[in-house]
Amino acid sequence: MFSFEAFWQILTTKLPVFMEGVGVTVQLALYTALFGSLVGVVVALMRLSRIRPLRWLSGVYIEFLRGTPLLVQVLIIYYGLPQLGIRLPRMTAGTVALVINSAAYMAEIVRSGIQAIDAGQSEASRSLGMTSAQTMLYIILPQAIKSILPAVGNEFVVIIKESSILYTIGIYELTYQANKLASTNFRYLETLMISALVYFVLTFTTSRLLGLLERRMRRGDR
Amino acid sequence: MATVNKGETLIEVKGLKKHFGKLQVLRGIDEQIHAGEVVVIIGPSGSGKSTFLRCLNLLETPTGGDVIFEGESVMKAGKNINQLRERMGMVFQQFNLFPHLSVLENICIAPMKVKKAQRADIELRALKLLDRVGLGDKAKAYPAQLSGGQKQRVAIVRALAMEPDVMLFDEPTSALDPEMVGEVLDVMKSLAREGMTMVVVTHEMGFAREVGDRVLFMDEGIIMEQGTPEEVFGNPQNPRTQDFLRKVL
Repeated sequence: MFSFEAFWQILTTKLPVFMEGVGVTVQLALYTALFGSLVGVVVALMRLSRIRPLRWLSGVYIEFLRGTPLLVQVLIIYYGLPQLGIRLPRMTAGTVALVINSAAYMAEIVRSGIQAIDAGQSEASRSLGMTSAQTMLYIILPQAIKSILPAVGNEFVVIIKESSILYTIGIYELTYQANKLASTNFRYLETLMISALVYFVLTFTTSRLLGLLERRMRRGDR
Repeated sequence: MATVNKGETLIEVKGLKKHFGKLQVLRGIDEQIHAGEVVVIIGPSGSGKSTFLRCLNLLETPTGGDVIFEGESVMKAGKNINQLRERMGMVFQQFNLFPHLSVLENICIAPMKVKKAQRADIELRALKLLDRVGLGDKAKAYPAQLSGGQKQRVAIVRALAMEPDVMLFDEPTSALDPEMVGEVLDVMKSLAREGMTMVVVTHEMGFAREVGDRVLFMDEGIIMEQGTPEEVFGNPQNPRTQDFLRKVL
């Protein structure tokens, strides 16, 4: 039976344990959101490049990373790469795995955003003598980013949730902490419910913050 | 800047051809645009007018022939195409203002990024130009807050801010509500009076007649007939021109 009493007792006395996990989860999510976005933009630009090998390379990257399980990718990077002499610290390996995985999804989001911009925008910019790089940087990307903000927010939420997979390689993030706690107090249901609740607070806050940003950026349009 | 004196050849088009797949849109055009001249291109839709105009600044890549602008081949320009485009302003049917930038930023971005102009200098000039087209109070507005006619006037100012040697107009009034056509044509007329070299693709026959130094009638990818407005409108020689004018006038 679910004991509300136990739930409350764990929540009040063991909160620091959860908070420790939250700290690691947030750190993972922030790094992944930041570097995943940056790498994602680069991969998207490669995907849209005029240079065929770049298009091909980015295509393979996107398809492969999206077509294989994140868990397998994490295991390959942490347990597999040392065989090639690449030994990454736990936290670095976990972050790298999340970043390269998330970047593949971000690349597709960014690409669709860029392609949704009317061709006339780029023509107007080029007709003024701006280079293709200047056109991308000052004209296309700012508009594309605005239009993909909802999808980006969604991806950030996914990152927070998927970071829980890193508990399999022993990173002390939220799921790891909750699971460890539950294995000592045997109150699995209550303890894991608390961790679910904490995840929800994180994801809900994230999507709210991005909604706010979206509304701010929409000033100017009508 | 302008190295070409009034009356000299500014743009020389030689045997210009363009096809999209099997569709031949331009079938060999030879033409010269002289400095200070207003050339108006008329013709039925699908005749290649817009494609011709867009080949001049390489928004479309010709499949044959060449365009010589101020002595330089557009086709062979390679990376220098951006420097050639700086000197060729273009105004589009759909305005193509940058919706995420204010009116002032729309006008200033290219001079600042391309010519590395000082913000204060270019903003001052932009405001003067806006005043001239009657939009001095709209500098801080965003494109979405403007009417079609206002957008197109801003687009003209944006092109002028680069101080081009020639202005290309691609059906600048075709997307406008009828009551806004006049305000845009007025700006174009005053430009013409100041001696700006202009190539204008339009369906406004009144404008062609009043402002054009020369009228080109295009059909089926070639220039079928050309002459002064009096010649083309008053006494068209080619049966296709006669047929077209009968329909539109």
